[in-house]
Amino acid sequence: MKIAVCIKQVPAGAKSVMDPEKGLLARIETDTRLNPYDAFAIEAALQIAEKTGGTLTAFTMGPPSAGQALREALAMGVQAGVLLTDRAFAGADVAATSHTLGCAIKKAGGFDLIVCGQQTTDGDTAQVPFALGACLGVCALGWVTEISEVSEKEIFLTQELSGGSQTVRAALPACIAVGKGFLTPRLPSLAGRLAAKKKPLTMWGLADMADQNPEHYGLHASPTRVRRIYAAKAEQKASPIREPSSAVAQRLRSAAKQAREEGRHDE
Amino acid sequence: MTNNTVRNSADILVFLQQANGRIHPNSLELVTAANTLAGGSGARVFGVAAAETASAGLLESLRRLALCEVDVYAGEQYKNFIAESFSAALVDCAQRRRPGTLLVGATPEGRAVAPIAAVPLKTGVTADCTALAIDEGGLLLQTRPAYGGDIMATIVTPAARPQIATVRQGIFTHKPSCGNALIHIHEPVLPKVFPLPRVVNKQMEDAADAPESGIVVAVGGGLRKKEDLELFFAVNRALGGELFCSRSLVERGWLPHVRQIGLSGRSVAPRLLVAFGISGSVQFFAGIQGARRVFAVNTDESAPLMRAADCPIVGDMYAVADEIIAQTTRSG
Repeated sequence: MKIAVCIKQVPAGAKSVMDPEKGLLARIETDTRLNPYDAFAIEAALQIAEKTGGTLTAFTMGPPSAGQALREALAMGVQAGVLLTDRAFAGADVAATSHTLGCAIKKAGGFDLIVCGQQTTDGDTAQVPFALGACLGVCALGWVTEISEVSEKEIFLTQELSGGSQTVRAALPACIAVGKGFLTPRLPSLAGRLAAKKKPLTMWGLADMADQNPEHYGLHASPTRVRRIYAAKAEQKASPIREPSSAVAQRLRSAAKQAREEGRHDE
Repeated sequence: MTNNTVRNSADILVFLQQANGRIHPNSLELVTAANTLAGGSGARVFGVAAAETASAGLLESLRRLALCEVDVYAGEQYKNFIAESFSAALVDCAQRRRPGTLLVGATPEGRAVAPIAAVPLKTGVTADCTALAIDEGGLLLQTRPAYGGDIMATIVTPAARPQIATVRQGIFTHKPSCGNALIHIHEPVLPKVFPLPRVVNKQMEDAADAPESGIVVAVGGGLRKKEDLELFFAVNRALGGELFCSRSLVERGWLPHVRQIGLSGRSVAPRLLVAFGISGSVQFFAGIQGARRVFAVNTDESAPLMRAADCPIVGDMYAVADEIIAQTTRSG
């Protein structure tokens, strides 16, 4: 069974650097780390590979420094890594990112199962796993909170949806997106880190892809554009109130009474 | 990029998520939002729904919405939520209607359906919008928080159509309408993916719905132990609201995720929000943008939520809670 895990290197700090003119993320002068959700995706993929005796390859797209994320995946036990890096891939939105990842996955010979973290901590859209599934023509199962059974042919998993959850049985190939919290990602051991240095790390650029039209990648192929970015601001709205608890309680009870009356009036 | 022939249609299509014949509040809010965006421009607002059966009840609630026409895809394949099934119906409808804009609620279902539909439609999706507007050139301005909410980004889709946005619940207020939408019932659309996943079990939880009273009581990290939740459930009953919490209480395992307000939880848009012991992370703010009046009780007056509240009250949440219970008991 061939398993792929898609990961991303993201800014580590709370502050991220944006280029206000282009509206694109500037990656310089920023510490980076493996997207926290992806550690859970790697763990889920490793457990499935161990259970089924499958092979596991990690894919990432980014600047050459994004190879660090792959090294981390390799240190955790992933067998091989593919870094998609090319100027032509830069500035990609969800559509272009999914297209590029999909092309690479097809080039690598296709996979029975593709595992993604549900979202990244930078873009935070949670859309790539769904778009990637659609690009590959396989079903995409998101918001996964439990994987109960997996074989070479099918997977049983639980998804968290509006007002509850559902357990589904899906035939493979499939693309799944896992949340945090239902697994504990393993920490790379020293031996794992040493072994990672000997594992194959492949770099693919535009010239390695089946489709070499640069207009199908990166910013060119991104239907969305950032028009404006600005800091979310917080200013002091009203002066703080200091009163005995009894007066505060009265204030809150009368505000609630007023809100209930407004509610009746609205209807 | 786009193969759509009608590029500059101003028409808006709203994806109407439904369960058991009931339309999701997030979808209802988007009907109102779409009508606001259409304004007096002459743009038409359409709806699309998929359901196991086109029941009389569902059709009647759809007909009353402020929409010109509603396409209903009915069939057994819509009994459970399988994203590809709903995306296929949405794609079919978007190709018939050729709207300039497609709005989808940012529920877990909507956030799956929209990006899957965008691939065959050859367009993009802006996820989790918290504000929508139309610029002078007719482009949809889609504003969303990024980087955990530190930064707001306004995104546009300059050429591809439709411009798709998923929109968080609680950003717009649903105005009940008495429309007379024309309903078209369609056969189900088979998605390209085969075989489709099958749902083998469903577990419905406490829905923690938006309270009809329009009051939300929210409790945060200031809560000292799980047992103390009883006191705040009692305060919530006394004020007549619905109890929610910030992420810290979900992480401590004291309340389920469905009760979490914030970027990774849900948005609320009550008339009154009373927050006890919530400092107010940027993620939390993303979930309360639609709240009309915010009262915050906190011992730390420099907490971000205290700075943003309409009525910041410096005080001990426990003392205030005890006093609310005492006063309510006295007044019967």
